[in-house]
Amino acid sequence: MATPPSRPWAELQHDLLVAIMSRVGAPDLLSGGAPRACSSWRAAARDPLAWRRVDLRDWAALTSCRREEGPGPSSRRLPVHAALAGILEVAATLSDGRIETVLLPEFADEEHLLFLAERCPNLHYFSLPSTCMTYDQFCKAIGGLHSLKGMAVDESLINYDALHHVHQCCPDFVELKVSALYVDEEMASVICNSLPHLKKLEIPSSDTSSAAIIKFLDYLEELEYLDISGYEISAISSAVLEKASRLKVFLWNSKFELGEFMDCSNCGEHNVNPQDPCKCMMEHKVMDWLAGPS
Amino acid sequence: MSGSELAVIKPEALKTYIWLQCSDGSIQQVEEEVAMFCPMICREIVKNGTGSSKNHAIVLPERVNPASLSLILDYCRFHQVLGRSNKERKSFDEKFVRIDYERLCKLASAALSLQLRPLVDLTCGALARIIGGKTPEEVRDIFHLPDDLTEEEKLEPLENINDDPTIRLLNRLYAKKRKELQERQRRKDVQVQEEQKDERSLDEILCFINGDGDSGGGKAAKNKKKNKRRKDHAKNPAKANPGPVNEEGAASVVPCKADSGNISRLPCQSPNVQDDIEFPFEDDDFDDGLDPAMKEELDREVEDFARRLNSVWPERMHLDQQRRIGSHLW
Repeated sequence: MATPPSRPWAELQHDLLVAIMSRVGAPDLLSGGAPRACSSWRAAARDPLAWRRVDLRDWAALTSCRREEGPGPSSRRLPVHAALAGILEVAATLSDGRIETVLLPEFADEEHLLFLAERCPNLHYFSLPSTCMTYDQFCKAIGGLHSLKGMAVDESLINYDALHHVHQCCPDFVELKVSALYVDEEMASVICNSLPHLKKLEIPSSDTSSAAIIKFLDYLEELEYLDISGYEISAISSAVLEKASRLKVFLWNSKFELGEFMDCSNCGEHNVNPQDPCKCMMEHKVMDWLAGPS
Repeated sequence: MSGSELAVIKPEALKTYIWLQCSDGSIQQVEEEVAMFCPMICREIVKNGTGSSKNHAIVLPERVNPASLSLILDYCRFHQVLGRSNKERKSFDEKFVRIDYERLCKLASAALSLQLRPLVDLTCGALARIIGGKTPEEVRDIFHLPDDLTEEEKLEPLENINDDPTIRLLNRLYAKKRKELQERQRRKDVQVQEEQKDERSLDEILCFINGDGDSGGGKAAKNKKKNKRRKDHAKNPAKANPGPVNEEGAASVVPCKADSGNISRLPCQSPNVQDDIEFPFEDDDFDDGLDPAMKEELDREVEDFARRLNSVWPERMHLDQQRRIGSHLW
């Protein structure tokens, strides 16, 4: 059987190119090489399906890409908020308003969220790390996002009114991710009371009290996925483990298990996993042992 | 070329095998549990009962050639085993995509047509990583792509789209500023008018209305100027506005959001910016009844901002000064 002539790659099917483009990061999609390689790749980069998920968290990458380009207009020197607004505009336009997920950078604020509520009403998920959001603007934006399924926010937005508003406006809301330093029983109560139908809850890299974890497990009857990994101080008791056994996914590795290390208090050497003692401690122990029983 | 069957006979008679037919007519045989890992094939087996014999092989989508199918079955064979750890799977996946780009593309294409989601993620993700950070030339090189974009398309795409909304944003800020100054001026005018009202004759008023379109003057004149400006605006959107607008807008934004690179956690909202973003920008709001005095005041203010910003953006200042000298902004 003669081998069929290999097709020129530009004839890679449009849907495959779109599948690739949808996994290329926003910096490259906006100003990288792929959209400018040839006409079929350009078309794929502008297909709405390539813009369903927009990750803008790496602002440095987004701006450095654009700086590499030739002499452009003053867009490079714009204040970040305006530049972000510009990028969101591009994304909203190219996606035909069908963006499903937007992950915003740290400095994003109400305006950007309001913009999304206006232009991308089918938004399923957003991540908004801002720590200084005003509630009424936030609620106004939420009012426009009826298809919202989940969000990632800072703990400053965890209050009953804001979350209850989400519950009322977004019937499909099932997923919450909170960025917080500590989560106590009170915050857990707020979450449980305002969002009783949560299926997925993520509170990574924070210290959640045992009472809070138990509250989640007891009150969120539809909970399937709980992520409280990355903590420093363990609050995982056997009661917690037992209650969590009904969950489909339960992530509870400490930050050390996840690969974070600290300095040894004895010799100051970095990269010590507290689960395993530092080598210097071992040496001490050996010396002590060699010294024999006192 | 004719349907030559490549049936491989396995000794273990206990296993159930599924027959799969590729686009070129060749047929491969695979253990049932491996085939079932692919949802599309699974559906065919369960719903249509096909695949149980050579003569009733499941016909696969066109893009699945024999080489890709082999790879896909290897993938399924590995991953359908339940006991494997995440680490093992990850390690397998990493090695699995270390093939030449052409085979990887064909594999991705086949995975996509078979709707094998994890493999699509893996292959397209790998291809996306290859593409990331490369220049157009490099991408064309790797994937043997034709250089068929126009010069404009190559330089432009999204940079321009980017500019419009940001320029619109700055326009809004500037328009607001102008409105404020206008308000102030109108209030002054009204006071002056009220003093003089009784003295004017009808003729004078008519002249005033139909005349030169000074501030506080007639609608007709205003509309004329508005239309003219609209045309200009439409013709040269990029040219007409950026100059002072940039300083003005940036100025009201910059003091709060100081360094563009600095991600600040402090609440830092300029009230001007806030209001403007909320309300949709209407072109109708532009009012051209600016008298020269007002224009001067505006220009003065803009220059003021410009001077203040001079230390921060010397380059931009130079550019904008040049623009302002030659442009009819309104």
